[in-house]
Amino acid sequence: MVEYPGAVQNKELQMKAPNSELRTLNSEETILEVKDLQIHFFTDRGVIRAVEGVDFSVRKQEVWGLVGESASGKSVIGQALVGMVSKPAGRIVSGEILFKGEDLLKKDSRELRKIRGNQIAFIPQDPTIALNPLLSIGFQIGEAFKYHRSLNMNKVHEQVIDVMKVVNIPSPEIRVKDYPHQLSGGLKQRVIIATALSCRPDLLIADEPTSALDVTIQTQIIKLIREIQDRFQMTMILITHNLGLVAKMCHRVAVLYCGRVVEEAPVRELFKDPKHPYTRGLLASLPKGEKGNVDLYTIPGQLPNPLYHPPGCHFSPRCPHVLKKCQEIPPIDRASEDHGIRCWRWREI
Amino acid sequence: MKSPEDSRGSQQRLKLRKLFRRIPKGAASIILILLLCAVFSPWLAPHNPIEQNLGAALKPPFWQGGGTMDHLLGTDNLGRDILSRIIYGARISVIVGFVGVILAGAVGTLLGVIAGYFGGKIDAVIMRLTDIMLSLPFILVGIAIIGAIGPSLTNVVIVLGITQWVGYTRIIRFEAMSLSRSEFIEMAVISGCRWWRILLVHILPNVLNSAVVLATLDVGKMIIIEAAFSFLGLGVKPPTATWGAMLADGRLYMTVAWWIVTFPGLAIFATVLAGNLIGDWLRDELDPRHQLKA
Amino acid sequence: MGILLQIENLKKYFSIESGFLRKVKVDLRAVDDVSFTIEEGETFGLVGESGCGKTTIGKLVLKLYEATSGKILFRGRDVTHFQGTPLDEYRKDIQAVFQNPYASLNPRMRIWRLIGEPLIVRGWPKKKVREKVLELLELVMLPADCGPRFPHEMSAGQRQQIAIARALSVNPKFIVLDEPTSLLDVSAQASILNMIVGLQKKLELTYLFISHNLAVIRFLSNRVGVMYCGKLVELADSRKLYVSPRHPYTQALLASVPAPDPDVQTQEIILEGDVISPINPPEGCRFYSRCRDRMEDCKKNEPPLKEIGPRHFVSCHLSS
Repeated sequence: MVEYPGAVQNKELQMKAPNSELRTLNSEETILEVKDLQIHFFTDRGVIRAVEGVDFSVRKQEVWGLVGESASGKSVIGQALVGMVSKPAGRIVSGEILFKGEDLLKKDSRELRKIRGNQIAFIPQDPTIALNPLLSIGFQIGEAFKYHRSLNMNKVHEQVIDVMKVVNIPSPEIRVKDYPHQLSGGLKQRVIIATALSCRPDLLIADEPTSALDVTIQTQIIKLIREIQDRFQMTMILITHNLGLVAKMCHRVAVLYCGRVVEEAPVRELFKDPKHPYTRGLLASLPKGEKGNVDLYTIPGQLPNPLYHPPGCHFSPRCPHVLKKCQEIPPIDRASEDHGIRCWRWREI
Repeated sequence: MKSPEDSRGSQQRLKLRKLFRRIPKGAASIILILLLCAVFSPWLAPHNPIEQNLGAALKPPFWQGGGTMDHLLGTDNLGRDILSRIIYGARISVIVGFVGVILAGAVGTLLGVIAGYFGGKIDAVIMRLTDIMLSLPFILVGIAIIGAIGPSLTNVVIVLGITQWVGYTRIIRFEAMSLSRSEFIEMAVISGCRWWRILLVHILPNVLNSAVVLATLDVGKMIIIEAAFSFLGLGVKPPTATWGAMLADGRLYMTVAWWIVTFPGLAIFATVLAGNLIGDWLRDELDPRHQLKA
Repeated sequence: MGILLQIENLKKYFSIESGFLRKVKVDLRAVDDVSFTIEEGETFGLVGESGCGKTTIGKLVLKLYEATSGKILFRGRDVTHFQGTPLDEYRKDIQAVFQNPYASLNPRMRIWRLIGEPLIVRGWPKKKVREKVLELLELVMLPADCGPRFPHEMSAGQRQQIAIARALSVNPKFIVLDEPTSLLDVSAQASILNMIVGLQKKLELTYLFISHNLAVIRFLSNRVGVMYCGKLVELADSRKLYVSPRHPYTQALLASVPAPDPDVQTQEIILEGDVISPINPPEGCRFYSRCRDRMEDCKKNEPPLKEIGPRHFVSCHLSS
């Protein structure tokens, strides 16, 4: 029975489809390590603990996924990695962000500026608002070059055309003078990607890079990002709520719920053998199958008010396996070296 | 476990307390004093504001040589107590400020909402009307109208209403236009609402925020305009005390009796400043994006 | 089970002034000659990407837009040019739920008034409205005490429940749902979808479900229509469409949905270029520029919508 639309089941078509590459990674070297990150927002109505003690590490050249729903904290983590948490309300209360061994949170703004755009690049969600409507795309792509490499104008122009070719923008010599409003959504996203790539960063953080795009354009962009990642051997952090995207692109994934990592695992393991009740609930509630099927599974209750996180395990009010013990925050337990679960009862359920 | 639903009552009290902390105290106190003066003038003013006492004319404020405690801020050329005239003058300013603003605001907002919702020819007509009104200097309009119907408080307020509505229309129209395209208006149409219900029940309440902010910022302007009219002799008939009239009367004596113009001038300044500060604060307060503050 | 809604050769053109100062008037052909029928009790899924015209069709059916030409028939009656009283009557039979849970509810109205508005407008006395609202709240599984609250106190999912309650207040037969779950989290989406299905069975409703999400459409629909650039390119029973799509665009669309399962392979169909704008569309087949299987004929002649199998229509020269 076909579960997902477009899934290949016709034998004939199967032979035409490419191999689903077994996503294994050779490198074990860590390029980014986050330790006990706490980011709070101080508002009139109280403190929003957007990120409450998140630890993870990202290995060189892997695509690492950060998955979560609204108010999970995933976007805030992305912003923190490039030093863009909204001030003055948002504050990184504690924790370390070790990039290539050095703590970014201890650097001053000058040092951070040298890293941002240069070694760490960021692709935001909506390309329309991320581009300045009054500047040509050539200018915007070249800005990072000018700042980080201090090249002369001709060199910059050359590099800009080059990187536009890398992202498959047709006729780059002509389009370099275009303005954002003359481009479609897909092209704008390519421009953003070109801007991010211009200095050949080691780490690329993409926050919902395809959510604002049509689905046929999404496939183009996904293919492009994969090619680029392969070609330049970049490490990538993919922040998204789209589990399909994660399945297609990531090596390892972490699932966030209300500011904490509840499960992390290599991608196949997460989808095939999810151990945390939230992850299971999430996967079970995705729409699948045809009309007339059984109802979709729904996780009982709703996301808590960000001002009032439940004590102990944040998921406990909604968990079908809740016990008294869950009033204490569960630590991350390991099912295997790569598979961590933040739950007291994962072995039994 | 602290649940917000359980402590709704205490939460609301907390909200009010926090709100109180945010109100700009200085500006609010000035407005409060103004209102108290306006309402309680007979009890607050030490003297009759129109009673002349030529024997006590041009007395300086009490801290200068020649001043008395009887007339704390001195007297004008006709011996009338400055302090009392200022207190009574607050009445005029309050009436002009509030009534004028309500009149202009109502007309301007209504026209703005109609222009924004209907668009097309109706919008064009209202916009042309706005352009015409904007190009006429309101002083001339004021002179013409007051000249025709005579100077009085009511007539000044009428003139204010006729000339000042324009400031509201443009801004309200813009908001109404974007509201008209939003989904909840479409839903209202689908629910069966006719245009008048949509305007009254759906669009108007949602532009009220902006209208109120504009109004607060306008109060100061109204008072200044009234002062200008009084100064020109087009305002309230003497001997009624208004701050503008005091400025006009005191003009001739500025070199010998600085207090006659200074104190009403300060009163105008303080009131207008307070109004502006409150208006600014309200605008930030009502802006939903301002929820997150350090 | 008869035909409830019938759309015949429906067109909606918007007049756009292009060019900076030149004021050239061009037609934006949002919906360009679309026909299909919806039977009573079924869910018709309308699928496509941005600019394809699916939302415009929803608005045309709801009479929020006036059709440029063509007919809309509801229960056999021509409602295309309805105004005034007949339009009010029509609005009792057909209601809507829209995409944005934050923009579709008046932020200054209490929830019970929002839900009851279609009744208030029709002159129902306050007491009866409140009673009906309580019934509706129960129907959409919202607590009875949320009547006096305001929309901003409710979550996105709950707001959509409110929108559904309002739509049901006049006992409609037909509901247009335009991306009702696109802006919701996965968990909220599941419960709203379940509710939509449940209500259909309980109240014998017919749905026009508009979405770009193929998995959701598949979960809900009996029949599916695929739109591209203002035209209906494929129309079939849901299972047929997903198992053997015949139009190259449908195939590409289905292949682009990343499945939440790393083992599932999808066909690699990556379309080049961008979605065509419905302003000044090309002569022949609109999908020509991006079609991998295009032929000479496709450039000049627009393929008609032809029946190529039982209840399966395709607009493509390849299939003829």
